Amino acid sequence: MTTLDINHGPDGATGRPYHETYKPASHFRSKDEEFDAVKIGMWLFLATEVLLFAGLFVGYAIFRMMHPEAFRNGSHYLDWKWGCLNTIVLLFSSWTIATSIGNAQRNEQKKLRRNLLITVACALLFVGIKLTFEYMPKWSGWFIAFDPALSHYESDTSALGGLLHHVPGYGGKRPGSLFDYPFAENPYEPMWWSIYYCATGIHATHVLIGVGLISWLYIRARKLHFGPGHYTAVEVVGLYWHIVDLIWIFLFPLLYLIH
Amino acid sequence: MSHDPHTHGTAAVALDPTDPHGATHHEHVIIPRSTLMNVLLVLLFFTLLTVGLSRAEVWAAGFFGIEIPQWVNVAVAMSIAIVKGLLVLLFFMQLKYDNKLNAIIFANCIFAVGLFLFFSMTDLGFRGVVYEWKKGEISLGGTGGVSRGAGDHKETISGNVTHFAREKYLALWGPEKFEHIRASVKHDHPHGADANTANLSRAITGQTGALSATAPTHSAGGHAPSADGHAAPAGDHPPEAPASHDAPKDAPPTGGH
Amino acid sequence: MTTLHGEIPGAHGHEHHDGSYLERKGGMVSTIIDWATTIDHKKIGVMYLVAVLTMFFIGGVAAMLIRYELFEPVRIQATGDNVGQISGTALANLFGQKDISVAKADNIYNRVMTLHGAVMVFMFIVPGIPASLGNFLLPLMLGAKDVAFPRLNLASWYVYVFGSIFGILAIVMGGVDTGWTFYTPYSSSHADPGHWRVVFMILAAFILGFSSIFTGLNFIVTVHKLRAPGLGWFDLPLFVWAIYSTSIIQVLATPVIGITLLLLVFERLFHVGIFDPALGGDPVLFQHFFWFYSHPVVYVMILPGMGIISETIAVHSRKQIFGYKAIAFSSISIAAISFLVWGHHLFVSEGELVATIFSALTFLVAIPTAVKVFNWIGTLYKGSIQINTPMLYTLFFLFTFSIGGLTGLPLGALATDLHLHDSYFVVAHFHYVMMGGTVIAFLAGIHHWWPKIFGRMYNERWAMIACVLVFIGFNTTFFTQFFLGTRGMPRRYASYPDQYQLLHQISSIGAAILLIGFLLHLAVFIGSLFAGKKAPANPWGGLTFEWEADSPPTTHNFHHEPLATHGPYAFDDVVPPHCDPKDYPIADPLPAGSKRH
Repeated sequence: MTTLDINHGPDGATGRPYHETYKPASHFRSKDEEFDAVKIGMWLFLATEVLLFAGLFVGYAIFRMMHPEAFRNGSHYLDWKWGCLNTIVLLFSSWTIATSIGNAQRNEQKKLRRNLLITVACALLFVGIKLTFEYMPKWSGWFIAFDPALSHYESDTSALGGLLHHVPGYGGKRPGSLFDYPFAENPYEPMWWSIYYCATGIHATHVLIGVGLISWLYIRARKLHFGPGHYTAVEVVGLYWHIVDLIWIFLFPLLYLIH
Repeated sequence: MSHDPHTHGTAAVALDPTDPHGATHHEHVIIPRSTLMNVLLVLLFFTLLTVGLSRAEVWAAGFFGIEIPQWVNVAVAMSIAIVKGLLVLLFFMQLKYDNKLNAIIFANCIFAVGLFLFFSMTDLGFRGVVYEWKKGEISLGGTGGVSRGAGDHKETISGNVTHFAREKYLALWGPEKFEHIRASVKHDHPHGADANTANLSRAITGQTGALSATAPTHSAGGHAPSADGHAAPAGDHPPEAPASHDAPKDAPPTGGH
Repeated sequence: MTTLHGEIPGAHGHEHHDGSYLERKGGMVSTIIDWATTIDHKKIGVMYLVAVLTMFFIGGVAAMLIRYELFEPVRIQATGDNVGQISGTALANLFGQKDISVAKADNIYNRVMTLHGAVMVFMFIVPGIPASLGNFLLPLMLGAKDVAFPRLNLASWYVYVFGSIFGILAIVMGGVDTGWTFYTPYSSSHADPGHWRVVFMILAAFILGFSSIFTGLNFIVTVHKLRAPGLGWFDLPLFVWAIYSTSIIQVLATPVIGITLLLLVFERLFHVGIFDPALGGDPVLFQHFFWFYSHPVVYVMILPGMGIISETIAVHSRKQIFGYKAIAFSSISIAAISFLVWGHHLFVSEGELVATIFSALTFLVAIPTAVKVFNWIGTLYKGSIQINTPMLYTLFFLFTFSIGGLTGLPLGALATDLHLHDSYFVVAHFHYVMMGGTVIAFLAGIHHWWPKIFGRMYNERWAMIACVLVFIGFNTTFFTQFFLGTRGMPRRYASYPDQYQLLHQISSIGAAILLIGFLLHLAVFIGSLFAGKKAPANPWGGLTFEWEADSPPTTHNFHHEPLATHGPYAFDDVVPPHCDPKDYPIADPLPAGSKRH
């Protein structure tokens, strides 16, 4: 088994919290060296994330260059208000997690936990908005009852006791061969939806992974794992969360604000 | 934004003289709350700015018929996004205070993205500049012929998908209901395409006009986005592209490898 | 480099009295659990070595099947009752299918060919050297106890195995006929959506990408943070420089294949149309996406091999490497240039403007590569060369790799490429680089570090005989293919006109000799493990840190934290560790404490 004595859990002898007694893995010379190494590792990982999304941005650029009309039409189907709200939600959550690092550094345990919780809530809100107000109506034509846009349309059926309303002719805005929207104005609109769903879908998956990671931070924060002596995990998960935000900062104008 | 990052007390560790990295170790930085708050406010401001500019553009186009070229839209939106991105990188992600290596890693990654973007766009955007035949043939919306679904729901799409969907619903609803539903979902509202071209100097639908105006009875209320009026009867093939200035360069045939 | 005896301040100055990392801990079951849960880079390296050599075997079997099929052309019956039928190809007969249509026979060949390509590229040659020898040696060469993230390292191995299982599943389910490049629309618009095999093979490559990223990321951080005291950047062994450059490519290029394959899976399952001309997509875009990764990855395959050669050539010529910095920087510049040239894989499908640019850029690669080759030859000059298996393979590498490199030039030039594109010339070229370069360097490296890894010597005589067989077999197999290609034999075909038969038969005979050579190597290795002489700590008189450790190294690698006091190739100045000064006379000893490169 391992001989690298990685320190887990609170120090049994003294009962001091984990972050005070934390020792680095034995192949590092010091805690700081480990912290630096982990951060470099995280930045390298972020580079891979950016390059992963680069494929989608390149796809976007090329198809927009080739079919500008389709992209303009496609963008008009999106509601910039939802996009803008989601941008604000993500920016705010970026701020809360950036602040939570400072909380750990200043040993403000309560604020640390609160900021982590707010970040998770924002992440879930982001995905929730995306699914209920954007993906679902566009894909299927089903609106949730409290969608403000519903008032503009004539619904023909409702389901789940009036929670969902179907608007004929609205749905079917799907990628590629799944496209089923009767009123397309450009033959390349399915391509726009392909790019839209791939880009936002992969981004939303990253947001959900972020929910998992930040929840894990929260659970550890409750066990007093983070403090001035050790907050590496908060820092690197924070970096991950910022890159998710950064990708959205570029996706938002590219998808929602084309004219 | 002036800030004076201070290090926390325990950072002062005696450096090991034989440690090759001790000298380059970066001290832990606590970014002041006010800095983070200011950055958030600036980011929110820029978000509203980019939305505002984009709305202003729509308004200018709709109200005065001023059509701003697309590159302006892209340039403005991307410049704002880059400024926002830099703020996130420098302050939220602490690159400003961090080991320079991390910034170098990120810069390299952005450089790689740039290469990727540059060369692929050079290829697909400049087909046929030397040899005309390299452009390939245009078949709008693809060559068609894919199938979707499985089992009983399997259907083969003849022609391009947009055309197929349109024909399907025309047959399902009949022309009158089709037109009625079109008018209701494509009315001028936030979710739909606000493609009212009445005030524009030229139709924004360009080469695809025929596709959107193929309802047998002509569209009610002038909301049909096609203003160039070459309506094709339903059931026709999607139009072969008239070589208008914004006609797409289509996918060239697959080459070897 | 010498160990610093005495107290070193810092976390791991204390002395470890631990045994060899290969020491068995208890019975069979606990030994297996010990290996399966280890975070020791040496064990993970050995596990990787076993895994990649297994995949090399599977890919090799497919290669032999290909050569078996091509021994004779398929003859189609033109008269009689079975017009258009064939009396069964060699491969079809092997699988018990007689009197099948040409299309079906081709299908079998296509699957075997794809199996060979996909297994060899994604499961053998990309992870090959960095994950096995790199994992084992990198921390040792840096004087570190482990890589920066040991658990990530183990995860990378499991991800590799998981991905390989997906690949093997696709093969067992009936194989994939897309070619290892998964070009659309072959891979995307297969008529039958139930063909999960293709999805599995694509997912296999996708998952293997993660393993590659984990390894690369780990190595970069390790080189930056865990170098021993006194070990500056220009004291690093050139193998480390090569692995470092490789890791940069792995980190920057692999995510692009990730998104490419992900989109391809979406394409296949939902027909999203990005790469599909039927839906207005662009299949050439897929080629751009694919080669943005796969060209840089060609250097992931070859750079570690170049690193090995830099080590073996200096140690076995017992001479300071010629042009240390030139070789080091050429590794980095190869990594940089690798991102600029991917378009030369699609000269006939991409636009003419970008093809011209890519052609010009492609020639840049020749510069750092030639810098390396000339420096290696310069190192040999007036060295005291010892002919043993690693050195024989090193010389073999210089010969075959140069042929591989030079034949790349006509392929990089637009006009000649039009003729040679997709012909056997290309096949021969990349086998000279990948096999004549990487595999040969890998074999040189395995023999060079075998005593260090397993603590046993191998049988030098039989290993050299095997090496000569491999050399003869390899050149017979692939040199003929240059002629086949220039005469117009296209690649990826199950059959050919009769006039190519002689060359194909020579090639197939070469493959058989190659097989015998590899089997002999396998026998030598097995013999060494069970009956080999115990290896001294430093059998070749190497100066880098790994030779300071025991053979095999202890669990913590070193008894004391090593301290760099001289350059990695200062053969003129220092007696190698664990060696008798009588065997290694110093012409011009340096005063103690001073340092020379």
